[in-house]
Amino acid sequence: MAIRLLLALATLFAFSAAHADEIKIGIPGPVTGPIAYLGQHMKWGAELAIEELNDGGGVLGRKLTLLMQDSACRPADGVTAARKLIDQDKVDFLISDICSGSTMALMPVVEAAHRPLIVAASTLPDITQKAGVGGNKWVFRIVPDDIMQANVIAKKITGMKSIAFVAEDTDYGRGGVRLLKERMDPAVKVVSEDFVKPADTDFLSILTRLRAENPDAIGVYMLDQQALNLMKQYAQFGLKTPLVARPPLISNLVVDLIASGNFGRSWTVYPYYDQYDGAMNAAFVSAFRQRHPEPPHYVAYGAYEAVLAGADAIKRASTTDPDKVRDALASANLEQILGPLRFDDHNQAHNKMMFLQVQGNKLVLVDLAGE
Amino acid sequence: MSADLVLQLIANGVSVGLGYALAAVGLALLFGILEQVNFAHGELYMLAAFVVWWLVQMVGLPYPAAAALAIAAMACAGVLFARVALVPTLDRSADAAILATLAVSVILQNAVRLVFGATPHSMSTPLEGMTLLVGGVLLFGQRLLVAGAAVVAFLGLTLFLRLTSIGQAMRAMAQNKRACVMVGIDVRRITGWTAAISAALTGFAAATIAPLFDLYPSMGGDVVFKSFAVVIIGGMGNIAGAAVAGVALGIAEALVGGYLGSAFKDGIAFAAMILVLLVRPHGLFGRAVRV
Amino acid sequence: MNRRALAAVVLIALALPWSVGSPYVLHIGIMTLIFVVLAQSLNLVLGYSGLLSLATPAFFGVGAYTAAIMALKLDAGGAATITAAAAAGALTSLAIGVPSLRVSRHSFVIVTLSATLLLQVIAGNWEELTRGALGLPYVPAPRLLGLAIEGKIAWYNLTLLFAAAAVLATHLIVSSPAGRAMIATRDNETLAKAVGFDVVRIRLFAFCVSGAFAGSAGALYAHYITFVDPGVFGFDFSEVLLIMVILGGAGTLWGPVLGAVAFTLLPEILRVAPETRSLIYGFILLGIVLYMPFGLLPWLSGVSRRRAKT
Repeated sequence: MAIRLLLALATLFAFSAAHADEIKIGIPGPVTGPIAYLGQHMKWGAELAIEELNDGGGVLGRKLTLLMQDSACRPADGVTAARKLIDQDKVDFLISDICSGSTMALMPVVEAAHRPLIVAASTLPDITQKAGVGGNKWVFRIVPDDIMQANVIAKKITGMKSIAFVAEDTDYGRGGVRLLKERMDPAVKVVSEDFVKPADTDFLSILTRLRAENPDAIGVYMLDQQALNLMKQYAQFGLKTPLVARPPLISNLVVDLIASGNFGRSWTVYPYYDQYDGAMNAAFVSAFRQRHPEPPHYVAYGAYEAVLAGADAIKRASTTDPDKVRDALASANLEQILGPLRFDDHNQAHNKMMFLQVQGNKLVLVDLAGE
Repeated sequence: MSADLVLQLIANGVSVGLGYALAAVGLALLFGILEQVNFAHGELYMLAAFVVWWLVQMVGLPYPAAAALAIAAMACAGVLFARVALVPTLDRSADAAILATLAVSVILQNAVRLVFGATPHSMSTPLEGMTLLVGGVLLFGQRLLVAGAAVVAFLGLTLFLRLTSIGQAMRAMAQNKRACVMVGIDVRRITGWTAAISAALTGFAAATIAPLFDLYPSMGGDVVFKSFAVVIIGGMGNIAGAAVAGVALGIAEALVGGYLGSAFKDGIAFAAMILVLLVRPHGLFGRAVRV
Repeated sequence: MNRRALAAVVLIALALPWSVGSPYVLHIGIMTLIFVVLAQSLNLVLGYSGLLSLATPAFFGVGAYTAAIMALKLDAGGAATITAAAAAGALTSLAIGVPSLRVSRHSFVIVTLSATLLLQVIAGNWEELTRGALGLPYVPAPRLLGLAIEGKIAWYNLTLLFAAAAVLATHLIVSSPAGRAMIATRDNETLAKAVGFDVVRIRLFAFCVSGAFAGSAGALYAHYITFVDPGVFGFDFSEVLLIMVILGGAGTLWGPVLGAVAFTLLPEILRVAPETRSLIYGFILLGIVLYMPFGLLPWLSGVSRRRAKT
């Protein structure tokens, strides 16, 4: 009986659910777990791009379809999800996971399997340092990395006398703070550094201490869910110190908090803001709003652009042959929401970033910064 | 350091600590009476929070009514929970309850995610934004409510266990399950009652504490860890112990977090647990349903 | 498990790489085999010694970091990294076991959990050694006897070897006098003490071997996934291992193997329903806990025994 069971299982694996003439895009990403909120946005962004492409007749006359498998943002699960997408579902290219650790684990997988991987959310510099020339030719990143953002932030910090950091205890938080400290004016004194577990919700003791220390600014590196808690409690404390560096002021979750007027002079540097008033963005955001209860998050924008970039490469290569698609990607010159998409020789794009500041009770785009 | 800072930190610690104690009392009760480890505790808390949120933000009920309704709903959920996971594993090894409640936690977390989505939600209550300045120390309205709720919960539970016949049956079961059966106490019914009260208490905790933070399906994880720490340090199943341990943990974390930084703050709970268990294996106050 | 079934399992395991070409299936196989080693590690402590331990990720994580650091910073070969990882796992088990094996069972669970989480905090903060939260990427393939283990088939064979070794070692230990002492202590601690067994030393032995197993699994993981971060100490590993061992059949030789196979395959089969798979998984888990109280293996053997009778 056991043998029969095992044979049945083997056939299950051999079967691949394929509509052979569809172009398939795979995302190993967080469907469950603490990053599920962002995974949901990635899916929405990708789906919107696919819908628009399909309405225009598809690519090379073929329809596109999205396949997303859960990685829970964990490296081992990400590898498993990617393997299934590549071998069983036969995706033509992949959009990477959100967490940098998972993306890193995916890099050797796509290299061995010869599939392009477009990174649209992870910001760890290592990813593209090891990509492109002399490295993994299959990995491309269309969003700025932490170093590029640190450069911009460092310039904005000059003139401050002191700063305290509150960051999540992950590669994003630790990496962000370290890169910024390396680049900022040495005259700026770092008063304290607090790295908190991403699941931590209570900031009372940190805020109490910050109120006593009274730095010129509080540098924040946190994702939306946790930052919402921080900002809520900050408002209750009646603090006036501006939040700087990378608080997710652009997030839909904190719109009401900002409107309450408690965050004047806070600013952030983010790759994307849904209220940026370029024409292409307005179209994207309105289409997104028609389908979903929230405006697009940065990772939704990233997934959307990634799908379009991949589709464009397939069109220019006139085939889904992975080698040709990869080469077409490397020579991309596509007009996207924030400007032309072009990769350097490490497969990194150099889009402008947004410098946004709270003026009164509104978040205002002050300028586009960056390379 | 200034006296103001110390006082503020202690005030923070007491209010946070009472929150820990309140969130943990359901777990302490369940473990004390049934000797079953409940890995679904955090998810029950999360479920209660979502019920309150839904009633306030979606249905439009006023906060106190929503809270009361949620607590009642959680009591029913507790009975169902007992039927599904606790009663079947009552006579089996400890592992069985662990795995059964673990399975329930997976089910609850994913069910809530599928129904409400993964987007974090915010709840507003009448006490939000209310602050009191007492002698240089800032106190927050909702947190005062939590503190009050904690006192009510512990007193209420103590009275219930002492004065009602069901409460006495529960204490009997904690002392000796088999003897209960011999004396004619319906162990299954008591299990149902215990789970209902535990869930209701957890619901009470969620109704008062959850509005302070945002809600999302995976929010149970942090709650369950702190609750376990409180129960272990206080003495497994010791209700009064849980109260003291919760407040002590809150104050310790506030002072350490305030002076030494967050990295050390996280370590406090672990270090305390290890130390207490190595030095006093039954917790600071010993294992017993002591009220 | 009778000989015919055993032969069938061995044959299928050996034939898998050649009968199914898909790298995805081989990847599942490799992960399953790594989990077999981990499951046997926990089985020694939980199944045969009767102690609920949450320390397996501690040994696993230490092993993974040891292998990764040695490979990246010292360019060490596979034999060195895996041996060092196993040794590191064993040492960690001593460090945790000596103070904790004397306390009550409830306390033991919590102390093992706290120790594991403490290690996670250390891994996250000792940045000079571990790069903290940034993790250690690009761990090179292990070199054994001059050959680099690359490609799914080579990896499958390597992990198959380790899984077989783990099962064999467990069998040998359990049938030895030391093993009998472990089982006696598990079944009746008071009696064992009365008869003169040094209960703590027996348990420490089981803990140590368990540490070596898990440490070596950590090395395999580090080289295979090529990325190690503090997440390797995560409680989710303990969760999945408890399920594999207890629901597979704790205290049996093949139960945990079956558990590792079943609970690696199940989430993958469920990937046909990407959004709801975790929910379905929860329900299946609950069902197994409630209706197969001793685990999958005893249930299956019970079924086949009943069949044989008719």
